[in-house]
Amino acid sequence: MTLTTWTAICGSAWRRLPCAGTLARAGDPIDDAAREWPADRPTVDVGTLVLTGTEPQQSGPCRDINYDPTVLPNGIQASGDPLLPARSAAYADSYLRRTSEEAHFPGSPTAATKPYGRS
Amino acid sequence: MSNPTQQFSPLARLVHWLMAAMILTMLFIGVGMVATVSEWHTWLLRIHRPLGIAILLLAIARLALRARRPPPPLPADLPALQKLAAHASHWLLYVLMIALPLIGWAMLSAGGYPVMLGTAVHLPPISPASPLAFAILRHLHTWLAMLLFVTFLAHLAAALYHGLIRRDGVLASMLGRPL
Repeated sequence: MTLTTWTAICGSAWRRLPCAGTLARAGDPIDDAAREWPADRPTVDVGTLVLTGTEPQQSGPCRDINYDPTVLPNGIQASGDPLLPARSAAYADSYLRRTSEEAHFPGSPTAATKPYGRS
Repeated sequence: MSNPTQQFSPLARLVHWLMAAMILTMLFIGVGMVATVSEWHTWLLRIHRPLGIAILLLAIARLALRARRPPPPLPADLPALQKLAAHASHWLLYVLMIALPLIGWAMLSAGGYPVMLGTAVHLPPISPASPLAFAILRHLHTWLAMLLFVTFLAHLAAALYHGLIRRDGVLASMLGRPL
């Protein structure tokens, strides 16, 4: 879907996504994303993500990137959440499958001929 | 049985056994880390990269050691086919010890990953970012690792054959003492 279509459905507010970090206190669980922290923890605004356009999935610049949640810049560390290494391992496998498909590697499925998300 | 002048130098023996332990560890780390989605995956990957670079550097150092002091000759009565197999498998081991880390490094470069050894040391990319190159190098890394596993087993079997069946001093030349 294009940005215009999305905006027609959802209004324009969804384009601006404020990002906040919540500061933990000693004892807050950092290895289980399913357990909520108490509501009184202070938050820090770290910025706003503004969506300015969309790109088709097959030809857009995001296609060949593996969004591995454990590859982080200096100063940011992954928490003890066991989902992060699990995603890293699963994404590594899916990245190899996608790139193999792109490289027409023997044994890999052939690339889809129509864009995803459309019927 | 073994003749003291027919031995590998103590340094060559030290590097050989050190690398034997490193490579065997590396093969199991490699197989283990792609087989799990637990925290082990991140943990093993963190060992895999610096260990691979260490193997690369040691393999190059060994080639230099070998050029300075050639290994003792194989027994004169060894059949020609076995001599050929011995030389070919040793060169194959050297090729794989050097090629596998380089392919791993190039593969990460092609995939656009940062090549981190620990948290501070960041190696430069040695290949332009290309998903096609990544796919080819990534598969090559697995296949050559399997080939290294097979070559290692053949090397181990041959060492035991020399040491236990032929008893010709070849194993002793790397052990540093008669078996």
